[in-house]
Amino acid sequence: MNSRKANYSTCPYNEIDPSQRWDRSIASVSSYDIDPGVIGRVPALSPTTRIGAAGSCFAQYISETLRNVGYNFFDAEPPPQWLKEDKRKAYGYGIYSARYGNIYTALQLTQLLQRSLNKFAASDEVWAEDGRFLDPFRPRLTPSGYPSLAELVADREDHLNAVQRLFKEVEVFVFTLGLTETWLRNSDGAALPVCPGCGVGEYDSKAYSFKNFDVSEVTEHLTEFMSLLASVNPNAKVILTVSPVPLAASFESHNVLLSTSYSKAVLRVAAQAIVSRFVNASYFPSYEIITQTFNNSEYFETNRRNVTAAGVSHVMRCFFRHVANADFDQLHFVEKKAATVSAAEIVCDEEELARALAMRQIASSENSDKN
Amino acid sequence: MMSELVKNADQIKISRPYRLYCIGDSNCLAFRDLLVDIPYSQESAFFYTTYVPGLKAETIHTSKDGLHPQFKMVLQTYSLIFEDDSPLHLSYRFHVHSNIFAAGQALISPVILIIAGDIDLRGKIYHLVTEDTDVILPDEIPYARVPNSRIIPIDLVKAEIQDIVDSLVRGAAELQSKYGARVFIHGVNPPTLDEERFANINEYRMIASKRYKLSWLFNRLLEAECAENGIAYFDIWQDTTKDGYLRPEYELDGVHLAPEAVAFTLKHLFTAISLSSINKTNYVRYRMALPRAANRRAHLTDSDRPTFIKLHADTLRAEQFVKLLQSEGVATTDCRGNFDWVIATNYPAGMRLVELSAEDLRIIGDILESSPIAPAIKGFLGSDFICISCRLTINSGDLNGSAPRLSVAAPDGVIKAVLIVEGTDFKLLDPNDTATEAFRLSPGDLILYQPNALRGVTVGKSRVLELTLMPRLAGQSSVVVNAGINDWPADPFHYSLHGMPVHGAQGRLTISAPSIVYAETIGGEVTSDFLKESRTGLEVVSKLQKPHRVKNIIKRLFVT
Repeated sequence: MNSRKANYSTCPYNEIDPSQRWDRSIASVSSYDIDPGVIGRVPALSPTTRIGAAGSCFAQYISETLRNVGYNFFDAEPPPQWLKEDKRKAYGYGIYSARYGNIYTALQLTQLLQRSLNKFAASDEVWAEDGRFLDPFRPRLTPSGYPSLAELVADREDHLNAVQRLFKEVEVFVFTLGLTETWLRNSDGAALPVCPGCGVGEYDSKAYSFKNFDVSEVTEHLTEFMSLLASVNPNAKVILTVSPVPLAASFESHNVLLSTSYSKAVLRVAAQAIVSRFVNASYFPSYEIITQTFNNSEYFETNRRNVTAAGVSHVMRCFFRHVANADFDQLHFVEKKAATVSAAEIVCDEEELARALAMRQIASSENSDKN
Repeated sequence: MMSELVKNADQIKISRPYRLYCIGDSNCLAFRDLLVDIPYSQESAFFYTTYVPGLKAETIHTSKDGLHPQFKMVLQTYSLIFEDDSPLHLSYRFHVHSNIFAAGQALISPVILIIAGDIDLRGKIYHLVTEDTDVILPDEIPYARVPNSRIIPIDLVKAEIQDIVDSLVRGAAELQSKYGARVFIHGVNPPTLDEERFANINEYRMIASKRYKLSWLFNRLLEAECAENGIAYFDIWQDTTKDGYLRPEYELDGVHLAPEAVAFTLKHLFTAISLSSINKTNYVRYRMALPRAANRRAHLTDSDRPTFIKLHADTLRAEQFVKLLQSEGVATTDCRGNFDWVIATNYPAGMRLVELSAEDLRIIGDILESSPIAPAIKGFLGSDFICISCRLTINSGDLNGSAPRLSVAAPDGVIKAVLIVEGTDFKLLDPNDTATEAFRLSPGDLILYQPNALRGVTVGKSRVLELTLMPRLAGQSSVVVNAGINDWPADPFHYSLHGMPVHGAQGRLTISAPSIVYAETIGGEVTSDFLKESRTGLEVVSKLQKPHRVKNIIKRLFVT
């Protein structure tokens, strides 16, 4: 039987860009040079563009790097000039464009913007511990909370004013989606950055509920954010990324690896949906650069969670190439300070979950020793 | 004039005031050459003030240089330390005691008042809060937030101030521990209110509410650090402010307080001194006094004498004495550990000291010298005596079950006595802390005991008069010394030159300024041209609107 000769002459894939082909853009390229590009119309950053940033802890790599290479990182809530570097981060200054701490979910971001515009009436709840006061929206903003309720209230007011200014004046806003799992306050539906009782606050099953968002919910939250942002700043551009950092712990009753893959898949799909829907939104593939197989997992440290400096450099190399049309390695040499930060410098609320579990493990082993 | 002086030469009165040392920034100039009559005594004190231009609290003690050289210089200048850095008042050298004795000086722990922090505030701390920022004090201290200002976390500001405060307290602690000085730290004064003058002097503007908040915070941190390190602290905010701000009558020149505010500092200082303790006692001086005792008998050493003797009220006929002390109804001072009472736990909240008046002391002195009490004491001690500590203590019994204990360490040749004013149980504890003797004592009973032969003495719910007695030196008058500025042990040598009998009644605080020289605030030689040219000098004069005050200031400016 004669075999039929395959005809590829009319195949539409003949015209695709080499970057769309695995063999050309991945298989035949050295790991160092792999560059997945971006999705959507990316804004053209210049060193003077006012860039804002928020998101899960991986977003700190982006904000710190932008600052370190001398770009115009927008800090709407700057530290006192005299503040020493070791205290800057401890008090939440300069980690992001305002002192909101890590924003893990799209709902948390949307509610932050709403609160700054007085469009979300959050409860006045304050957590008190050892005579100090904590803001549930930023419980780890300072090493030990506020010494007075008055200062907490005043600082929160300042903060929301700064957030409002940020969103009204930012030119490019980079948001890193981190989680789908979150804890909601039942009284007002507010999304909290941490689970109460895990190092800060006190868990009360009647007051707080666990929630794991699906694609439609995350897409809806991001859509609401994009619309509200456009209403106060029509020219603002948004770059979405997805954090490659796996979950530290999941409240779903299955393996955390499965929760991680679910969460990242949902966030990735939602980001794509937003880029399709809004012309001022684009997607930058931090997640893919770090997690895909081409680097044989070398971009993760031995705990298989923290991202290595080489991984961060790869991300920033691609980011600057596409978003700023700049050679990151050259920028790196311009600045005296290390261009990227190490994992140890990253402020991560999620790691508190791991600490809480570790404490519990120690306590239970001590109890079993006694028995 | 000269002839009149010669004619009346025998009427010249002399006195030798206590030396008080004051070191600090320009705020200490208010104390320069002040001569102060101390309340409830015939004692006076003179301020030896060392103004250190530009002195910052931050540099008083640094890890690199240690104690600020100016502080050590003061100790050297006034011969309070030897070349080997050891304090004179704790010396065991015979010739030192001999010289001091000949000079009629008190060999006591020097009192040093430190005034610093103002330059740190104006030069550094105020700059922590810029024009568009503000802080909120904890504890709802009601200073308004400046509208449209951003809040800086108070914890961050506190951390910056704490570094400065630490330096100041470290320096004070070294003076206290290394040199045995009694150190008192004066908190910063309330800022002046004149905004324009502040801006002119400091070349930047800062509204009063922010300056107040930061000054208040500085003092609170300083107070806490002092408490932590056993340093006495006080400030005069309560006295000089109304609704949290400086009363206008105490405003002087945009930086300093008016001279009238000095009285408040003195009030707090003398209170603090009276409550302070001398941690180190130079027992050598007491041993050296023994051979000089008046009407000395052979057995003057502790080993020649029984541990205690008990004298009954009916023998002593001390009714007048007891009646006097029973009538003292108002307890004025919290009893503190430094007043000999040693309570390791359960701080004696139920114990009070009654501040005896000068008249009380005079009567007590008369009674101690009368028969049969004087012969009883003299018999036990072996010579004429003076009373170097005398105080009435009330134990209300509210001590959570723990009996207050009198500490008993004392120099050789010093004995103690307890006169019972209200009936009580009384125990003598031996060195093993075992009660060797227990009595039920009645009003008027007197116990004389050798403190060094005992571990302690306990009393129950009662009021007792505590007496500390030592040999009277030849030529010395009878003395009853309340625990005042000298604290315990009061220094008997100080009184020997003047033969001061018993503390006289004063009951007031008087201040004289024989040579307050305001030129010190601006430095240099005081001349009329200088005054004309000196902005500060002219401002001092122009600030005081009342004619008589202007006159006073001008007079002070020219008296050098």
